[in-house]
This record gives sequence, structure tokens and C-alpha cells, in this order.
Amino acid sequence: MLSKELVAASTVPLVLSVLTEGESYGYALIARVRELSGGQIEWSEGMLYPVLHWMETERLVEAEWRESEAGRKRKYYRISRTGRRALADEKDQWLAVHATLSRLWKPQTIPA
Amino acid sequence: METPNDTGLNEAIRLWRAGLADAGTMRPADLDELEIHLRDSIGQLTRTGLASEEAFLVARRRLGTAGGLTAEFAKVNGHEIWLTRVLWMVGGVMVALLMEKLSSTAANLALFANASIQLEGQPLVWFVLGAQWFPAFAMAALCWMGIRSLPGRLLSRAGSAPRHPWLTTFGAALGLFLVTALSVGTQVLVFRGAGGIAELGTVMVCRSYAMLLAPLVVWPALLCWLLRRRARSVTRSF
Repeated sequence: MLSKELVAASTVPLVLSVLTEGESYGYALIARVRELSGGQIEWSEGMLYPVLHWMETERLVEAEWRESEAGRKRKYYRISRTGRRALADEKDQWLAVHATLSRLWKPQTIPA
Repeated sequence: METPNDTGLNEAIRLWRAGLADAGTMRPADLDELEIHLRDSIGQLTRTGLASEEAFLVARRRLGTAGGLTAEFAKVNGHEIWLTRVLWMVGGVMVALLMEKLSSTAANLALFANASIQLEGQPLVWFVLGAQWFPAFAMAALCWMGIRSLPGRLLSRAGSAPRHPWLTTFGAALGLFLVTALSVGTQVLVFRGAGGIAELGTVMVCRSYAMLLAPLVVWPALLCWLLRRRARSVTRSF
């Protein structure tokens, strides 16, 4: 299981990245991330919504209420221009960390 | 998806939602979102074979504890909660001011009607003082009845209203009355010292008008400003 800090830090880039695939709503977002991570990233479901709310106030995403088949209203999110810029920035940061760690962790050849 | 006839499930969801709403940190929109998530989750679980009651328990568990959720939402909604609470307080103070001014007018009219009676007369002084205190007791009685009789559900249906809006309103109103009573008490002493209403100087009259007009201008202005700020922070998310 991932540490709480890692889950917290990765939530925003994950949400933004999934939204670049197309607009989505909370439940589907959680399911997609679980599927992509092979079950390694299991968000405590309700906790995603305050984050989405925050992202909306920061204008990283835009939201719209839409009626579903059963007549229930669901909130759909899509990434905004600000969100795309923020995602590009996050990507740079994560890749920088990843590159450094990869260099340190490159597989050691076993001495004969 | 659960059938609309599943009243047991709907009742359980309604209770769950009321429990979350009770903390006062979530807007109706937030609750709607969590509810639809819960229903989606239940639908998914019943498709895998669980009974609807089991599905509800599992889905609710997965969504997270009420304490955790309300705490997280408090962090993002804090600004709005504060604004709503201040709105309630301002509303309470305005009602208190209105009642106080009404009773004050009645008391003053009684004084004018009996201008021939010297203000040394104890009963009239007590009447004036009493007329000022009456609104305070009336408000207290109303608020007490409000706290006792309104079911929690009705309070929580007020959306992001604070947990005990009546207490907040009552506290603000009572505070104002205590200060007003003190001011009026001293004013009556001035009456007695001056020897009657006819002796009041223009300064005193102007002061009385200013005291009357200021709240009528200041409080509505403050209320409008707060309502606009709240509307702006709420409509930021559609």
C-alpha cells in the first residue's frame, strides 16, 4: 500500500491525467485509477470529493451537473486550460523525481 | 441500479445523508454527489450478487466514516461555513434591533401621552424599562421553543446552515439587548435628571435619531454585502 503522503501528492496529477482522456464523474474516476494501478492505488472513496471541490475552486477542472438514465443528477468534470498547464507542470516535477531515482536504483550487475 | 420501490434502502440512504448533513460542513451539492456515488457503488455491488442491505453497508464503509468526510469537507468549505454563520448572526441581530425599536417606540409614545405625569413616578419608569426588556425575553422564549421543537432533519435541510443556528442567533440577540438595556437604563436616569422630556436638548434628540437610523442603514448594507460574498463563493461551482 502506498503511504498517505504519496497518495495525497499523486491525487491531483492522477485526476487531471484521467480527465485528459475525457470528462468523467467521481465514481468512474476512482474505478479508472484502481484499474490502471492494478489495485495498488485504492482511494478512500469519499475523500476524493473534497479534492475535486478544491480543484474546481482553483479552476483546474470545470464541472457540470447532468441527468443520468435513472433520472439522478451526476456531476461531470472536465479538465480546464489552467488544469492542463498545471498537469504539464506536475508531469515535469514527477519525471524529475523519477529520473533521479531511476539513476540511483539502476539494477546493479552481480559481480562474478 | 436499485429499484425506486426499494424503500428500505432509500430510507437507509436518507438517514445516512441526514447524519452527514448534521455536521453542517457540506453543501447540498456535496451531499448530492456523495449520494449518487453511494448509489452507484450499491448498484455495482448488487450486480456482483450482494443483497441490497449488504451492498449498502459495504458501499457506506468504502465511502468513508462520517467523521472523516465531514472533517475533510470542513477544510474546503470553511470559508462558506463562516459566511453562513455570520449571516445567521446578522439576521438575528437585525430581528432583535427591529423588535427593540418597536417596543422602544411604544414606550416613548406612552411617555408622550402621559407628559403631564412627572417622571419621578416609579410605575412609568418601570414600564419604560420593562418595555425594553420584553423583546429580550420574547426572543429567548422563541429561540428556546425553536431549539426544542425543530427536528434535526429540518435544521440540516437548511443546507450549509450551522449546526445550531438558533443558538447563534439567540446569543447575538441577547448580547445586543444587554447592551441596549444598559444604554436605555442610563437614558432614563438622564430623563429624571433633566426633569422631563421637554428639557431634552436637541443634542439628545439627534442622538436618538442617529441610534435609530444607524442600524437601519448599517445592518442591511452589511447583510447585502455578506449575501453577495456568499453567492459568489457558492456559484463558483455550478
